[in-house]
Amino acid sequence: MAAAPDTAGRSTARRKARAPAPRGLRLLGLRLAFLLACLVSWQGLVSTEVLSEFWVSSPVSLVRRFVAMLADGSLPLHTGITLGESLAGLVLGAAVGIAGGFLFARWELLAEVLEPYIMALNSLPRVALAPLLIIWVGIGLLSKIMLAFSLVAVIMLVNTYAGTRSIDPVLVNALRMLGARQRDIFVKITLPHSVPWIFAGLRVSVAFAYIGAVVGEFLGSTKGIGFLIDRASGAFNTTGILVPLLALMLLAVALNALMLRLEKRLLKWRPPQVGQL
Amino acid sequence: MATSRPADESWTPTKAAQSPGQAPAVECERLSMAFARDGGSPVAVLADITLRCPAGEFLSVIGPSGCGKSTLLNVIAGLLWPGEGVVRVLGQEVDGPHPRVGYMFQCDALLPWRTVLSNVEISLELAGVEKKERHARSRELLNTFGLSGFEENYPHQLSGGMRQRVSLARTLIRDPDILLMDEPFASLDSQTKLFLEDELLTIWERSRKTVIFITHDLDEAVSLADRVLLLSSRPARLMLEQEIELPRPRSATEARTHPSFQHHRSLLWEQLRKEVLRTMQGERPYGSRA
Repeated sequence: MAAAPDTAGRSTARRKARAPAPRGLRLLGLRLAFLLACLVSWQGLVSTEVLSEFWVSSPVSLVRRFVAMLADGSLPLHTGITLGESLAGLVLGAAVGIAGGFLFARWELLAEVLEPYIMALNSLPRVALAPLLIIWVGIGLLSKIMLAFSLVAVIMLVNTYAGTRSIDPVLVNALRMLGARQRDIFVKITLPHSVPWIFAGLRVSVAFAYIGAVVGEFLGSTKGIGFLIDRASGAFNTTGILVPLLALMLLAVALNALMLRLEKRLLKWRPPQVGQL
Repeated sequence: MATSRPADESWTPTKAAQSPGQAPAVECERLSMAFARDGGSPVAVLADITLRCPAGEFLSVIGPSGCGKSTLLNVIAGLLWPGEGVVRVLGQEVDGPHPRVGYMFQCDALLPWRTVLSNVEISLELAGVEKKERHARSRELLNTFGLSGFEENYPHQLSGGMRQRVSLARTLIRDPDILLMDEPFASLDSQTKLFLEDELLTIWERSRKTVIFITHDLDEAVSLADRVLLLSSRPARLMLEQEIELPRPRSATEARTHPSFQHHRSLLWEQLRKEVLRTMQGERPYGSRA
């Protein structure tokens, strides 16, 4: 259920098989070449009219439209709205989920009582809650934030709790023999041990927060990326659908990169990971 | 390493030279214990164990694997409650981890997110010792352990032997009177193991702390200890007690070549062999209800 962190604890710490040293520049070059090849063949297929621009748009029109929408301020406005909704949902959901996970770890009975309900809730496609949320709080920003929140909170709860459950009891006993009390155990073991699990959850959650916000916008909104896509779709405007998607993708990539950097900083105590994306 | 000096004045044998007639360092009286099993009758682990360990003694406890040696140690440490019986440490009845007792585990049990230095000093941190003093004391101790230069490394960057030494340093920085060791060298290769055994003996000669050393390695038990207790297969009861008459100070390597080493070893092996056989055949000859 939980998105497990790459469990490279003590057991795999001595593993000799390291990923080959990142040949940074070469890899970057190859990645860019791949992108370029895709774009050129896309443009080529459209220009030679093998594919119709009406159905698949084209890189050139995408860029043109992208720049135009940047210039008239519509893209920054709507992207900003969606970004705000997702981030609010992400932050709130993470806060509640992480706190809940630790609460469960502290009071196992609570976890045992609530477990079937959380599992039931988790198996429900939360996106289907959107109409209900719109009835409750209207089509404003709040319904999108709540949808993103509902997706993120459960993931973070399950992941944080799974993290606390995976603590080696020997560590706890060792610390008790060194004079630790219950509160010390939480601060010195539970918290730091859970950080990789929390990050694994956060990385999944970024995508889910966007999903919550955009789907919420599809169902009723006057602003945001979902609104732009919905409007363009009504006008059969392929380029108009793809440009906001592109903006969303760029944002997601940036946020993910930010998260990875933070994670690297906080988790420098871990052995090097093999084949991490 | 062997020429190193203790980091702390209090290691000098002042405490070991306690007056006779004082309460033994560790005392177990008629300990029995059973573990609950999912959907079954409880499994008896300890059966009526009584032992006394005077201050300054190096006591080894040996028995077939899975017999309950670690359970016994955890009960003495105050990490587990015995079903029946009493444990006293330094004359006090045990009701939780005792501040004068240090425990070393088979795995290093270091916190992977802490550097060597902050692992070693964690007990001082928990006791509220000021940062500067903490650092100074752990640096000095690491120095005597030949671990200078590794202060800022993380545990995963060290070899198994080094991690176990860090773990020992972490236990000793609190200067415990009693050292409980649960097969601390069992996961190391045989050369590292011999080396660390010698190191432990050097430290022990100087400080004469009370040591209870659990192992399943007969050679290790005999070469280190003043006295060896042999436990039966599960449920563990005391089978045999053997004073080891090997000269001190010893080295773990030289002790193994001493003529009376073989004598002690074969006496113990004769009994241990039977218990190992019982364990392997899965018999339960001591009235366990399972």
